[in-house]
Amino acid sequence: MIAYNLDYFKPETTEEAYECMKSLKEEKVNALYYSGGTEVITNLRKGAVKADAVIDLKGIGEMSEILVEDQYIIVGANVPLNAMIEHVELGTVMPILNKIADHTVRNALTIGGNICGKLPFREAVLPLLALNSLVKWVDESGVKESLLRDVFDKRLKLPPNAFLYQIMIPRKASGKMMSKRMEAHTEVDYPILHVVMNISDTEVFVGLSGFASFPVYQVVPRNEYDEWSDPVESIAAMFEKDAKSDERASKEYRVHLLKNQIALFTGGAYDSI
Amino acid sequence: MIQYSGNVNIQLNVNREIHEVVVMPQDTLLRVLREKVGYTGPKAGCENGDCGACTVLLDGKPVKACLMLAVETVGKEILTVEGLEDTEIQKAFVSEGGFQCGFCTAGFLMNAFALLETKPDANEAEKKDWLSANLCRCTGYEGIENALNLAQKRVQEKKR
Ligand SMILES: Cc1cc2nc3c(=O)[nH]c(=O)nc-3n(C[C@H](O)[C@H](O)[C@H](O)COP(=O)(O)OP(=O)(O)OC[C@H]3O[C@@H](n4cnc5c(N)ncnc54)[C@H](O)[C@@H]3O)c2cc1C
Ligand code: FES
Ligand code: FES
Repeated sequence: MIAYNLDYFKPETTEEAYECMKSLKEEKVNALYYSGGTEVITNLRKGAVKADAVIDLKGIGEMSEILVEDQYIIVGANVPLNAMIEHVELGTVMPILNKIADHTVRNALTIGGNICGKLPFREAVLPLLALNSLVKWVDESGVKESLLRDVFDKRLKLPPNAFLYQIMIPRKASGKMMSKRMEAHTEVDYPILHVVMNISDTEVFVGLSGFASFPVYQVVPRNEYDEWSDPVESIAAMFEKDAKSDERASKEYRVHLLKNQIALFTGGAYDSI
Repeated sequence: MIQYSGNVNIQLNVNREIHEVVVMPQDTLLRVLREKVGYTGPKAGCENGDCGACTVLLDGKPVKACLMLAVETVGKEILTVEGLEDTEIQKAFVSEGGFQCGFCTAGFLMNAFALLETKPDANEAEKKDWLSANLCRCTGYEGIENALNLAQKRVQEKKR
């Protein structure tokens, strides 16, 4: 139960949504964009976040669609994870997305809500970063586009009042994507480490969720990576400073899991003892 | 633009009937179903998305009613356990002992029903993936699994 009053707005166009947020903010109304609602409702119920209004973006038709074009698969920010998992063109990201939350929650939980969320995990961002996807967002002057890697640093950095509109995933995925998710207890749980690694002819991508207090990633040019005598240690060294300790796992254990997994992915050696 | 503020009158399509209810925008679908519409099949377990006791079908898909606002569901078809009528999964829960205290049962039934409707030929991995969204505090998982397998067999036989 949410213990205080909330106003609900459901615009039908991007302009209406942006204007709605802008005018509410000008009136000093604390408003949140709303998509799957799984995080917003949880936070409002617990009192972790306070809001006076939500702007439900699900009235904007194209934000709930997946379109396949020549070069990109265009995924609306309101598309639930299960719709992506079941889409024939999205086989590369499927094994990563289908580990998030549980099947029933994934019918509501949206790709945009996961990326824009405040929780540390946001696992869905990892394969999108790995594939060098583009994102489109709506701000004062309309729809803007950029590489996700250029606007994601610990969180998605959008201008004030802007919202995520679509994600453009390259159709021709380059490289070999590998992933492994580890939990402390059961499979339906937040990860203590989710590693996604993509090795292509031009670069090596490594992205982690559950390892730090936010998703972290690094991209290394392929020629530089090929020169590393010990890729396991080199990769671990890039991430070690971000490792966190919490009730689920210590920092040292997370680093150990990371090294072990990178060794398994790359056929390298890692002696844990 | 749709806008709701304070007490609002909405129509919800629950179990194939239109129900007119007065809700507040912050009311979750779970609370409205239980306290305003009068269907207490969906249970308030964790109200945090973890246990699945509140599972209902929204346009045929299982969702957790505790993580959804009632106003969001206007214009959609909501199905609760009260709307299931003599289905194979219900019969199999009885014959296979798919429940002990019964608190989780409505949630499991709705999820398993949706699975058999959408994927009657679901394999073991798919069944595990769907059903791991629900918890049984009495740990009666074996009976639940047997019930799903039996209902699946019967649904498949009917299709032949
Ligand atoms: C039981 C359970 C288990 C979970 N397990 C995992 C897990 O294992 N891994 C994981 O990564 N996540 C997990 N999550 C999901 C995560 O915690 C969030 O609940 C979810 O990602 C939010 O998505 P949503 O579509 O429901 O977004 P909402 O709750 O609607 O929104 C989330 C945030 O994003 C903002 N927002 C939404 N859409 C937009 C947009 N288009 N533009 C700008 N801002 C926007 C909102 O204002 C809000 O701040 C789990 C959730 C539950 C309930
Ligand atoms: S009450 Fe909704 S998931 Fe537990
Ligand atoms: S039968 Fe008691 S919780 Fe499942």
